[in-house]
Amino acid sequence: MKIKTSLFAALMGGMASAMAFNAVLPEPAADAQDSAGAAPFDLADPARIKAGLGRFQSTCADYCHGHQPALFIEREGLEAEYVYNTIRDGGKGATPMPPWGEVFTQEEIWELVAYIKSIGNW
Amino acid sequence: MAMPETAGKPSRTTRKALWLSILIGAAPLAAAAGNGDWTEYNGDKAGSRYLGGGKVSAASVKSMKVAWRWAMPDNRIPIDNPELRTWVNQSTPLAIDGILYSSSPMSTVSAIDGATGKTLWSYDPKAYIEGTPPNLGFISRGLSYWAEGKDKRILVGTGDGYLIALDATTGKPVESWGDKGRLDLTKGLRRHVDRSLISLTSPPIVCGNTVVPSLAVLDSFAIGRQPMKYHPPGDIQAFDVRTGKRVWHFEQPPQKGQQGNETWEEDSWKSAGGANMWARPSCDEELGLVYLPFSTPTNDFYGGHRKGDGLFGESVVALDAKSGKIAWYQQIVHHGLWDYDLPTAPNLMDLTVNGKKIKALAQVTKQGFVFTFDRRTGEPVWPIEERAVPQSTVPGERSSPTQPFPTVPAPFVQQGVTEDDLIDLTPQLKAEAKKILSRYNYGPLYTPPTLNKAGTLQVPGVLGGASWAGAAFNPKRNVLYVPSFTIPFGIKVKKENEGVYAYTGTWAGVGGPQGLPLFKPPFSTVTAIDMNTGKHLWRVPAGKGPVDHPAIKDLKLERVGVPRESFIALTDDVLFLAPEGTNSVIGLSSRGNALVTQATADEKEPYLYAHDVRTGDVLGELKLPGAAFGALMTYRAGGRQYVIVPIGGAGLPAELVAVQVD
Repeated sequence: MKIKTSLFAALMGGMASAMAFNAVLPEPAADAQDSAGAAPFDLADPARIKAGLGRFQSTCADYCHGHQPALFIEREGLEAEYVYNTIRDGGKGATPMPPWGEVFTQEEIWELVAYIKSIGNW
Repeated sequence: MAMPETAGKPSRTTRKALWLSILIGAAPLAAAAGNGDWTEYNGDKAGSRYLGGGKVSAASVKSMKVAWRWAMPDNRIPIDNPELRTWVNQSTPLAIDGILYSSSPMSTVSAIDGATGKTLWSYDPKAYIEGTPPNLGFISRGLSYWAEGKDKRILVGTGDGYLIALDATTGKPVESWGDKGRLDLTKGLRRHVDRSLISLTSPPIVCGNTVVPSLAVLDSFAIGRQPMKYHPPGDIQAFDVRTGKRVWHFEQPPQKGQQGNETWEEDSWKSAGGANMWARPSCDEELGLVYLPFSTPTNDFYGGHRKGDGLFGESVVALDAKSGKIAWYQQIVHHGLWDYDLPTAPNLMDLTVNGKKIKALAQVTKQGFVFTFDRRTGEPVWPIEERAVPQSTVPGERSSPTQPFPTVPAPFVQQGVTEDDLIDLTPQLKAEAKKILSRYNYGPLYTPPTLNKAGTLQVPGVLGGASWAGAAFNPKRNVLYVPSFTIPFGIKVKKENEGVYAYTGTWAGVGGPQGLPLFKPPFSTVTAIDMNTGKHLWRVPAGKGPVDHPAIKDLKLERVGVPRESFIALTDDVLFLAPEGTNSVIGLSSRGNALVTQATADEKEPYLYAHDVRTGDVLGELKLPGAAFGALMTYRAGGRQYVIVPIGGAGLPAELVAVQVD
């Protein structure tokens, strides 16, 4: 791997933008058993977003995604069905993310999608 | 590896060392003399995190102030190369003769004037050339120091698997040591080890003339690909600190004919990996013993392929530092299924229990126990009972019917889950907490991971309890100070349709209602334990915590504890404590071998607290420019005493903050 070592003017300038973060996400769930289909409600519904936020805080935030989830704030390019499938089926391979499909109803998972969409740009 | 010895019985070498120590008299284990140096990562080879003497007092800590800040010299590299993002900054320096020696998360070593923060030299081993290390990426917790006459050396373990000896005066590699100053720790093991799967995160210990490096190896999580059948083993290699030549090799798991091999059924010792020592050991140079804290075998949450107790997984093992032979061992968890790695160096202490003097060792654990042994023989200081525990229902799994429970001291953190443990500060919070709890299976400590629901609610979670932050010990008063916290984890085993394991574990931190923790406060604590009696002296919250949360603000609670771990350093009168900063684990490295994270710039509680060692009362506090992410240390230079706090990393500049405390 080539390493750039040129000086960077903003070295001590504070927080690096979360948008510059280039983490690799698990592969999309290629073997999802069921299609997520369309969301059964408007993903912009504030009540649904609020419900999703509460669920996110108790199941996704502590240690893993954080209460200010940098992975999703101003995130671009996500698709609702992909987010739904990842929550339902968990990470692929040995990624630590568990599947939530047995725990939450479809509506509850869609509320999580609504919250994640509400803080992103997609 | 050692010739077979009986656990609990000292080896001939150990007995000889014991007699020698009786003849010459016991030298103090800890840096109690207080010359102002912090010569070891944990303060001393006994793991005390203690510096005696000096002028730090209840009065002086009321006016603590930041004396200087020092930025890591390689902070630009992860900015210019976002794929090389570091983990949070966990680098804690040493202090020798007024000079600090610090590593950076990327393994760059620097010497710094301890009074001014001016850089004297830096050495970059370029540990990032081949990409990001496994598990949590770039972490270097610190360095080791060795001196003989005018020959003074700094030892650094790197993120890419090398152990390097530097001249402490110049920062240049010691050319005569190993291969031009380097040892490649991927070499010399009994099977090929991919460099991307190992990393040296904890500094090695020098015990006598033997240097024993710790080695982090790829855990069963965070790899974005199926786990391998042959994970790197937990072998320990030891080297002559003068020459770099290997002096012994301890094989983990034990191979055929070696002690403990019989605890790996169906030849699982051939393929099992992990059970390594990523934490730092302790050393008693008088006894000539090095004390190794080992971790869980792979994979962390399912062991159907490794039936049996699995020695020396999750064991404290005392080895003769010269020969590598086993003096004694004690397994803390049988057939581990909870990722309860032994997370920190055992604390070595000389106790008087019921009038009897005991050279003891205390191992604090993630699950909230203090296991205390005679460090010459391995005999428990207080009875340890094998108690029946819940059994696994996962097909193919065979969990241990019992686990060891110390009877003294009492646990220092909540263990297991009942409905009564749920947060109940308001009826609404309790109702919401019950709903969250209903998603999980739960029960007492050592309830195994499960396949259904959201898995088993594990308390303490995989982070502890006690953690890699360790515990501090005052050798004059024989008091142990243990920081601990509670982040419950949901551990769900899932069936694999491909790959080498029938099942693997998934995990997620579990929060409570409205962004508060799931269980009653305190959410984190520090506990003081009289180790002569095993009795708790006091237990106080570590930090204020979310007392201003809208749901509980009206209760006007003073301190409930930050729901994170805390870092500590100890003086005669003051225990310094800094709650860990916050960060999000948000993805996988581009190399597919590590989690990557983002630290939070706007910390809620970036504080250094000074506690009264006798009562736990808060004597003083200071707002820091960032929250702590690494272990604290304290030293004296230029007539002043300082506490160093590592901050930043993970998208923020990694820095050391020097706080004047006297």
